[in-house]
Amino acid sequence: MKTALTLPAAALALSLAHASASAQTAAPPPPPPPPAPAAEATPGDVSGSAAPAEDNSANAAPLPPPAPAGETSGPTIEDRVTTLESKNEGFAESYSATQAIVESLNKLKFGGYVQGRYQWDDKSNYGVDNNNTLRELNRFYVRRGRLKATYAGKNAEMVLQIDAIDNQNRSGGPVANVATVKDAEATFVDTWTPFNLRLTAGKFKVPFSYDLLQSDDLAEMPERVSAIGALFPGDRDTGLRLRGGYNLARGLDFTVTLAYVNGTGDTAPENNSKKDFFARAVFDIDLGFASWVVAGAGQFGQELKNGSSATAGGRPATYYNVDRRRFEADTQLYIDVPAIGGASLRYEYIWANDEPSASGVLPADPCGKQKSAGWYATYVQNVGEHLGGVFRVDAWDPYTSAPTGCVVANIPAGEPALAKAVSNAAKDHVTTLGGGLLIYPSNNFRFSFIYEHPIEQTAAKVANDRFTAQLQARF
Amino acid sequence: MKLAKLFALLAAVLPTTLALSAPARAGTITVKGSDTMVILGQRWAEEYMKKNPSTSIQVTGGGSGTGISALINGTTDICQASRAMKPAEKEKLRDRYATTGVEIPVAKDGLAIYVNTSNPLTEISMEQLKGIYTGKIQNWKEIGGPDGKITLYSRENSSGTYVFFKEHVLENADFSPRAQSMPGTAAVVNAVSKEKFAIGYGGAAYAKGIKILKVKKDANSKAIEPTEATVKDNSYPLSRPLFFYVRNRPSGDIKSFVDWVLSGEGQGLAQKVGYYPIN
Repeated sequence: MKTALTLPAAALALSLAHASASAQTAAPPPPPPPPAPAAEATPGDVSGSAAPAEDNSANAAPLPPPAPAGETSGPTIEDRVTTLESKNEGFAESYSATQAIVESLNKLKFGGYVQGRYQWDDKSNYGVDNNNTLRELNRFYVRRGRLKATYAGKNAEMVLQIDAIDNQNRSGGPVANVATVKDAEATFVDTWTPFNLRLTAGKFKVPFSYDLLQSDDLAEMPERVSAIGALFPGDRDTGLRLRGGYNLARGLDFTVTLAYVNGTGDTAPENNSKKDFFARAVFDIDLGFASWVVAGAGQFGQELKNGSSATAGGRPATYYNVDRRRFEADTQLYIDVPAIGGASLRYEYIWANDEPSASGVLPADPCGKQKSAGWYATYVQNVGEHLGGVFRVDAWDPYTSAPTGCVVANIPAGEPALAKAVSNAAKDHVTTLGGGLLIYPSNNFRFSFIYEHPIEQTAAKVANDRFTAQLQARF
Repeated sequence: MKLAKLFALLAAVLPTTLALSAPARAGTITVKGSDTMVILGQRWAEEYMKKNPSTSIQVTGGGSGTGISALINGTTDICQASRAMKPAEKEKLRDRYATTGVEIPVAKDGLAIYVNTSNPLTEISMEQLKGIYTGKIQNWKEIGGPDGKITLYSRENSSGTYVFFKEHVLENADFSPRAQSMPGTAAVVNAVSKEKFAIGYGGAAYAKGIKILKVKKDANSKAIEPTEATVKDNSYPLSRPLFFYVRNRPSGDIKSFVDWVLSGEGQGLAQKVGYYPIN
C-alpha cells in the first residue's frame, strides 16, 4: 500500500533531516551558572574568623536543559548586523530628508529689537504751564520695535523690515499712525564676477553718510546727527540700488554703491518725473594694528516744491523745482587700545545746497535757496566687552548764509517757518555736546544713559537739554 | 530737575546694570568653530588643562562660519577657523566691538583629497578636481581611473573647509548639485571609505581608512603629497593656515592659552595630531 510504503520513507527522511539540522545548527550547551559566593563572617560570629565557605553545590541552581537539537537560541550575529545596517540606512534617509529641510530653513533668518526709553527733556513740546513757563517733558516711550526677515539664497536675497511701533509711541505726539515698513528689498546677487555685485529694487537706506547707514540697533547715541535728521528724515527712499566691491590689494577693499530713487524720502509719494541719484565710495584699509575707513558720497536730485501763493517778488504760487546737491566725506578709525578695549573715532562733514530753478515764465525763487553744512565727531571707547562710553560733538548750520536776493517781506504769510528760518539765517548754528555710558550685560542687551546739551548760536539760550535712558533687547 | 534727580536715577540704576554685566567666571575659556580643528583644539585644551588645573576650556565644533558668528555674538572667547574672516564678518565685529578682531595663525594643514582604498588612481590635477566637483567630469574613466560614476562628498557651507575648497579649487564656481553635504570631516571619511567610487576632501589628519591622492597644480606639474615639508613650504597646492580669532588683543587666561598653543609644546602636539607647526 502506498501509505505503508511512504511512512518509513517519511520517517527516514525526517530523521535524516533532523540529523542534518542538528549537525549544522547544534546549539552550544548553555554555560553553567556561576558558583555561589563564599559566606562572609557575620557580626555575631565569635569565632574570630570567617566561617568556611559553605558548600552550596548541593543547593546550586540546576543547569537549564540543553536546547532542543535544530533550534537556535536567538538571532545570529549576521542577523543583527543586517538589522543594524537596515536601521542605519533608514536613519541616513531620514537625515537626508531632514537636512534638506534644515538647509532651506537655514536660508531664512529672523531678527529684531525693541528700544524702550525714558526721556527727560528740558524743552516741552506741550506748551507752557500756568506760570507761562515751558513745561518740562519727561516720558516713557518705545522708540523702535523692529522685526526683520532675511532670506539669502544662491542668487537672490530678500529683506523685509517693519517698525511695529506706531507714531504716537515713537514720538510721543498725539497722532497715532500705523506701523511702517522700513526696508523692503529684493536683491539679485551676482556669483559670477569677482565684484560681488548686488542689484536691489525696493525701499532701503539711501547710500549717504556713515551716520545714516549705521544700523539703528548699533548706534550709540539716541538719534542721528542734526544734519542727517534735517536732510534725510526717515533715512530711506524707494528705487534701485547697485552695490559692488573689489579687493584692490591685501588689506585694501573698495566698495561702490549707486542708487536711483524717487527722491521724496521715506513716506511721501513721488510727485514728479525727476529722480535722485546717489553715489558712495568706500575704502576699507586694514592697517594691522587698526582699521581705517575713508568714504565719500554725493546726492544729485531735484525736488518739486509747492509755493503757497504768488508774491510781488515773483515767487511762484505753483509747483517749482529745487535742484539738490549734497556731499559728504567721512572717516572712521578703529583701534584696539591695549588692556582696555576697542575704540573708534569717527568724523564726517556734510554739505548741502538747494537751488530753485525757474518754473515756466517765472524766475527762480531766491528765498528757496538754502546752503547748509554740518559735521560731527564721535569717540567710542569700549572697556572690556561689557562697558563703553561715547562722546559726540554734533554741529549743524541750516543756513550758512542768508539766501541772496531773498526779501523776507515777500515770503507769504502761509509760510511762517520759511520766513523764520531765513530771518534767523545768520544765527541758527547749533552745536550739541552729548555723551554717556553704555552697558552690555550680554550681546542681546544694552543699557545706555546719554545726556545731550545743545549750544545755540543765538544770544538767547534755550533750555533744551535732554537725557535719555534706554534698554535695548535684540535677537 | 534737574541734575540732582538725574544723578539719583543713575545711582539707582547703575549698580544693578553693572552687576548684570559682570564678566564671565574667570578661568573659563570657550573655543568654538572649525570642525577641521576640533580634535586639535580638544587635544590642546586637554593638555593645557593638565598643566593649568584652574583653567577650564570648552571646545566645540560647528564649522568656521558658526565659530565666527559666535565670536561676533559674544558667545565664544576664541574662534577656531580653517579660513580667513570675510570683510563682511570683520565689519560686523567692528560695528559691535570697535575692533576687527585679532587673527592668530596656530597651525598649518594640507587639505587632502580622499578616495576609496580600492581606487587605483594615485594623483589628480587641480583642473580635474574642479571638473569633478563642478559636475563636468562624472566618471572616473574620464581621468584614467576605473569605469564608475563618481560619488561626490562635500561639506556644509558653514564649514571653512568648504569655503577654502570653493575658493581655491573651484575658483568660486558652484558645486555640482550631486555633491552631498556632510556634517563633518569624519563623516566625509566614513562615507568615502564605504563607497568604491567616492571622492571627498578634508584635513589630512583625518585620513584613516581611505587613500589620499597627490595633487598637482596643473597637468605639467609634479604631483605633491601633503607632508609636513610640502605643506610648510606651500608646495602642496592645498596648503592652508588654521587660525584662532579673538575679539581683542589676548590678555589673561586667553593669552596664556594662546601663548602655550604657539609654544614648542603646543606646536609639537599639533604635529602629533596630524597637523603641521606654523613655524
